[in-house]
Amino acid sequence: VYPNPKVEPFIKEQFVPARFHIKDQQPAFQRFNAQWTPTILILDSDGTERHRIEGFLPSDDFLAQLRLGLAHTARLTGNFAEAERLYRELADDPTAKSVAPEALYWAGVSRYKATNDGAALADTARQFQKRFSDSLWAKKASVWAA
Amino acid sequence: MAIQWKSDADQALAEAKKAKKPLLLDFSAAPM
Repeated sequence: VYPNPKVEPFIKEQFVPARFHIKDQQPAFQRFNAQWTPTILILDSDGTERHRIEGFLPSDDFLAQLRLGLAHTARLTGNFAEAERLYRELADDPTAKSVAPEALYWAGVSRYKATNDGAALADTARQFQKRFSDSLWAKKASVWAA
Repeated sequence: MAIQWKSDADQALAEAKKAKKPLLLDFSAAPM
């Protein structure tokens, strides 16, 4: 997916990028437990892994995964408002269909984490009755239905 | 302009911490 007019600028803007080749950088593969290629890891600024992508993806799906990784990073470092914003953008973006159900699920979780209000989860379960109802994520959210 | 990939993990980690930005690590078998 490199070079790509959407992927490259996004990586340059959002990440500190590093690349390792299987032939001459095996220690890095072992250090980060990369057991297949391509593997993409998203780490927070303290070096903790927050998202892992294994296997090739077309550019739209790859970009959606990178955005999902940023949203996970925000959520898992306690920035719930930013996480919810990023997840909702993904859930509503027609170019990010491959991650939209997952993004809707985690948007609800982020809202709940920010507010400690169970209504955020119940509302998310209701949204899944209208959108992505056949997805695994709808099943996961079904326990939140009031 | 192409992505300026780093090849040293520790250098990348230090820069990410300083810049407060997440890291993207790409493990590849493709020609570079």
